[in-house]
Amino acid sequence: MKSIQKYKRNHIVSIRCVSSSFYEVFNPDTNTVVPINQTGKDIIEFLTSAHTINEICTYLKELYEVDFETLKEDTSEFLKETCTVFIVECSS
Amino acid sequence: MNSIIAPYYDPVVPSESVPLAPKSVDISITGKCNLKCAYCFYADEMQGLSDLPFDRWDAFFQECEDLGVQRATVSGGEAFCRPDLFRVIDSLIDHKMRYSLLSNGTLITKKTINSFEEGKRRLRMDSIQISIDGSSASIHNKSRPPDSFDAAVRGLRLLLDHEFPVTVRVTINAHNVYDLENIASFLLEDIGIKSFGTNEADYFGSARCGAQRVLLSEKERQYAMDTLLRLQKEYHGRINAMAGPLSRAHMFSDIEQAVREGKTGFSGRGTLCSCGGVFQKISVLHDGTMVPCNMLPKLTMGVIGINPVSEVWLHHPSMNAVRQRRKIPLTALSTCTDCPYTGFCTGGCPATVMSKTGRLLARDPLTCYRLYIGDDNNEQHIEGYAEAV
Repeated sequence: MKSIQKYKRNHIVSIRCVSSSFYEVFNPDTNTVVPINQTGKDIIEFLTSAHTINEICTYLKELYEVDFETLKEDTSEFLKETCTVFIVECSS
Repeated sequence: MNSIIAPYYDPVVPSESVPLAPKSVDISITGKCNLKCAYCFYADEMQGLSDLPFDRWDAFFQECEDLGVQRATVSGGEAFCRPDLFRVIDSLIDHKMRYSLLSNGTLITKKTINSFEEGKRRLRMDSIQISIDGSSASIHNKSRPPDSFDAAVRGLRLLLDHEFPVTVRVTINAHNVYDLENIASFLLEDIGIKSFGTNEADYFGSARCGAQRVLLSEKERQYAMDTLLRLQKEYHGRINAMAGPLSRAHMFSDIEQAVREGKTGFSGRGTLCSCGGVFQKISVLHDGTMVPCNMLPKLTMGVIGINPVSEVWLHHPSMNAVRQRRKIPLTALSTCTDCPYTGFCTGGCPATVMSKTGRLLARDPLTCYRLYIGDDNNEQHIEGYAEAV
């Protein structure tokens, strides 16, 4: 049976507001700064507890008028990138 | 009268280019120091203020975490004079920041090295800067009394032996200017550091009131510029500078070259734009007073724990006054209005300008190319330049 992956924000990261639509998420252990937009910030803030990609997209669907599949595609890409730099942690 | 025709601005409304939160903080965690450096910018009345207790710093770091501040530069006084330094560092780490330390190096022992191995103290350290002002005790100790050379070098070697991210700063002054060649050889060959930075003792703190001359004369400055340019080549760029004689030498050489090519300016220059620090960071003195830069201690903006950092960062008139300098064209200054080189100029460090002139909206004569090449016949300017140098 295929296990469902869950995503959670790395508890050591911080979010800095640069402008009303531009933020920086920072991992002080790896010294990585990732620029993100409002949607990215919404995801990172939502991930204070672990969620599946479907749960994340359902949450985002309430905030943005985008079709679910596009949302899932973009979110998946975002999670992949942020997991690589230990901003988000992925567990099965 | 030095009249300024400045565009109107509301001092409590930040310009659009100001980030909504600072990226870093400069914190002086103690006013105490075991040395009495001849040019210390943090001497003078600063040492009369009392150190803030740990709990106040901890609460400030929580505020920094909430704002997403990423880095802190920790200095003093001498940071290692603070008995609870590692508690302060651990609090910075707990509040999601990285840090750099500025130190004279003399209090760093094997025990200190071991203490850094605990927790994330090493992992989160960006750099530790040690000040070395001479190739020998007799020269270094004149700038940094009493008898600090051996202890500073021991501290530096310990850090290097344990592979810390060490940087070295040499502050060029009247005591060490003719030792530059030996300093480069000592640091880069004998000690074996990768590179070192230079700056120049300026008109701050103890340099303003010292009984002995510590600031460079123009002849000495010219010697430092020529020597550092040559040494930088010889050592393949292992000597660097953001300010001081080497930086000045590059700036003037770039202007000279551009003028020969018929250019009238560099992109992004021509206004009082030399310092971008106030767009990225805020400073806190050891008694908790917030200032735009720790070299602008008189521009007080409130106290941590009493005034919200976010409010001060965005709306304090002093913070915005320093930021707004970059909108002031140099041609608006009476000293520069007819200068053909304003398009190349940035006006110099606001703190130096403030210290020398008592005003923010002025230029530092030491950064003035026209005065440097003797192309300004205005007697008042020449007199001002002579006074400044």
